[in-house]
Amino acid sequence: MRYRSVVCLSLAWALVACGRGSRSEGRAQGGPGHAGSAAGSAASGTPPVLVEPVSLRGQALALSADEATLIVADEDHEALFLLPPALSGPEQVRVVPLPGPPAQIVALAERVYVTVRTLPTAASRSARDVIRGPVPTAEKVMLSLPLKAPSGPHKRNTPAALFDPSVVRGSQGGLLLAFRPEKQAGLVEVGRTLLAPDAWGLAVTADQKRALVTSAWSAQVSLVDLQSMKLLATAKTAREPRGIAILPDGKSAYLSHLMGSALTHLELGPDSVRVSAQPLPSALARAPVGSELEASLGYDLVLAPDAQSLYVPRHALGAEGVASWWGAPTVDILDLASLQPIAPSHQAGSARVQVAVELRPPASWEAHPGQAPVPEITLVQPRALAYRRTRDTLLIASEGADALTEVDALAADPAMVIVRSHTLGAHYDPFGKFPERGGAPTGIALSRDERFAYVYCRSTFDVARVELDNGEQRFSHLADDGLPADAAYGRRLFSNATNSSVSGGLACGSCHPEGRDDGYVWREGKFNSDPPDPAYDNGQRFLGRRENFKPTSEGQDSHDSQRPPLYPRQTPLLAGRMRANGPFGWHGENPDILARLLAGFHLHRAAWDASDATRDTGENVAKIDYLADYLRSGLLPPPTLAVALSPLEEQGKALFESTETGCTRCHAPKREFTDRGVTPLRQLPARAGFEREEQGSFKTPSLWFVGGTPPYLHDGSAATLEDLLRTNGDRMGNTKQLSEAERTALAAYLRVL
Amino acid sequence: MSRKRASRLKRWYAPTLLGAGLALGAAAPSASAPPSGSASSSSSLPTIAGANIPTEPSSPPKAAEWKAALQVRVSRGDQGRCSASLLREWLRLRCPGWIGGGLVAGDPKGVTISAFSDTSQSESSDTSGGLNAVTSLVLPLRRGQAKVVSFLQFAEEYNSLAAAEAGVLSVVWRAGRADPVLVMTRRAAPSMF
Repeated sequence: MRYRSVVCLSLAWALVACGRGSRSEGRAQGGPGHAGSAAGSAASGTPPVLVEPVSLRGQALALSADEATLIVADEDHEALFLLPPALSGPEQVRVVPLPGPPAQIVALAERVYVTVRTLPTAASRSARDVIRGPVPTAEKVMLSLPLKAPSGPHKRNTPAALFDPSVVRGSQGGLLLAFRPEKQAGLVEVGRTLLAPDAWGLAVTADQKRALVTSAWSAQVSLVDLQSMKLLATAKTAREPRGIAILPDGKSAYLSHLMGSALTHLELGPDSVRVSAQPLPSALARAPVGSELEASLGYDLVLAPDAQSLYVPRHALGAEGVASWWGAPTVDILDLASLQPIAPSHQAGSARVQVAVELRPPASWEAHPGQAPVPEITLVQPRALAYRRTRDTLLIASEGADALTEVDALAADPAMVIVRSHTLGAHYDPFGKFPERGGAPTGIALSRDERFAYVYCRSTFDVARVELDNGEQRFSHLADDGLPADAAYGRRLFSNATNSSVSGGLACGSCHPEGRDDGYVWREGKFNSDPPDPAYDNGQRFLGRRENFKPTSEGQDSHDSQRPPLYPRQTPLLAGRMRANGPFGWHGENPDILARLLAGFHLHRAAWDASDATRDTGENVAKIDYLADYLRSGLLPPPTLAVALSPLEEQGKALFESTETGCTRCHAPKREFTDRGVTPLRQLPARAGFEREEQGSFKTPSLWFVGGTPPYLHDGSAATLEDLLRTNGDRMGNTKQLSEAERTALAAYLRVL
Repeated sequence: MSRKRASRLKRWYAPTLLGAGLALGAAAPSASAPPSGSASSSSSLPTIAGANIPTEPSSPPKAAEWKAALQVRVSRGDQGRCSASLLREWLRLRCPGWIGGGLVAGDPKGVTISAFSDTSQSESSDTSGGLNAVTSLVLPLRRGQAKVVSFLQFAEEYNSLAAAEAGVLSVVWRAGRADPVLVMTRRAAPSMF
């Protein structure tokens, strides 16, 4: 039995659906939508239907226990939407405004739990109201999404509504909210627990008595008693904890992280959480021989039905494969008995052969014997998953491909065995090449009988219902984007990996998930495109690992056949740091944000498919406008606690502002802690696997949010702020005279910037 | 692919003999080779059961020994025209139309991949540019081990031929589990035309 002894009444949900009227289409089809059934039973006096929750794992959307209601967490409109699962019957729609942006939902029989990333301060609330736009209403929900013609080409020239990140970030904390179903309102709040800011992931124990919540930016996990809504314990974790998988005994759990390959293992006591790292090398079958790969985008993880395996879809940085300069998607499996990965390692001296015939010499992007398979474009930027036990497959929300992709869970790396992909993106704008429907799938709810998957598509604010065995789809549109039109287009471009002139196969949001960073140090250098492209010869590009550089086999010249110098470049945080006019770039080489974004297109090998006429002028520049508008008016900064400085932080502030340390000479407090100048710095020793920098001058980075962005320095050589301050000496300002206690104080202050 | 064009095919790749037990040849496969399988014909065959696989390792079968092999099918996915045979712990996968392959990951010990022209095949069923190519994979199924193998097919381009991915075989036999799980997937042949 999946959920031990707890069996609950679904009467409460049934009353909600019954009060709204008509019998759902889903019930008529025999699928989800049993509201009529449960309500009818209650009304006729027959014993109420006993049901278990459909899922105890948090997702951006969830089916109620009786499958009469689909609940969707719309983070950007800061509301819950309650829909009939058949996506028909407008009288059943409810909208529940929330005090902040929701992330995940778990629906039990009589309670619904929702994480809210931030309870904004009053000032932040006002700013967020403007960014969010009008409060959504049930009347504006389009249950059956009409098929409309793409609206481009267009550039509406809507002005970007720049926000002040220092205001928007202000948070009183994250929340876990508890609701009960109610006839008119849909849901009524019955309890809340204040948690660390950026409360995101949610999972409930099998006995339904306790919940775990991850606070992503705060790097914390919290254990909450659901009856009293009392916070039982919190613990610090590695950066960006996201997905949660609780073992059936309720005594241990695992967390996935947005960056890094290791998982976090939790031991759960009555009122305690003990944290330890659980290594899980990423994409072993694709790793260069003798190496282990880092990972990013670990938004979610799930246990197999027998609880013997843990599945973690993510992006393997530096993974080998045709045209895999950025790595490859993977589903890493941890065997919970041995705590070892299931996937075999890529080994030297493996057998490989090709029939003896004359073929054109293979280019580096073409298949070779023994080469790892090409990553499939239908699986890009995994964002959420569900285990389909009737098929032993995994359903993965593929954000970059606008698809729901089904992979074989029993393969060594399920990402290599795609069973089927349901394309959700449609009505692509002819100019911007972003979808007008089904963009950026970010959450999955699977019906109990596993016939239907519901997918929340965040960039277009749609819900898709996919009938898995025949592929039939139905869409509902929750609300229009509250951002100005051009910024809204930018939102869609930011997450889309299919737009060849912007993303080159991997969206902005892959390395900058939610505008944050992947914690990875990339290799940047100048080398030719492969296939060669005269317009971009010797262009600035980056690679996941040195092994990802493949000399071109066609049109080789002396440059191609060399190993180019590669320099370390840690992915920078974008959210909340994009308001300045410029300059941008590591060396301040781009005078403004538009120039930087165009350089970014080149880094991504975009423009490959673009004609000369659209490359650096015209259409691409317009797309850059969209992105710039989104970065400045829609990409929200991480929420951080708005509290007075502690004595230790006050001491650190004084040190920061002292003329002796000289921090403020470049990190000007009134200018987002940067003068945006380019400063010559003493060269750091070259890190293994990288070349020594040719240019030792770097643009002063903003220190906003610096506490949440380890590792530090452009080469990622400082693991913590304390490491940085201990080794800095007089390279940046002067910290060599500081005692260890003073460095601790200075680091404490930096963490609240 | 016309016969005339096929006749222009000649040796380009020097035999790349990497790994233990690798074989490359132009000879036809042994007479013991089973008839070409298809998804429909293989679906009636049994999947590979751990009960049929001894726990003690044995030497790779000699060619004549394969006559006694059990005809089986992979556990999941689409094995297309590939046929599978099991002898002791040794699996042989024979794939007409595919021009080669390689072990992507896993222990290479005992893994043999050969690619050859089988002129006994009917021309009409050939999908390898008139070569009647066949790829044969032999590997040991061992408890606690996993492997990934990729296969190649022809990709016809304007005025040239290239190799393209044909499929992937995943083998996972988890410690303590009764049976190995073999999953196979195929990719459509790309074409410029």
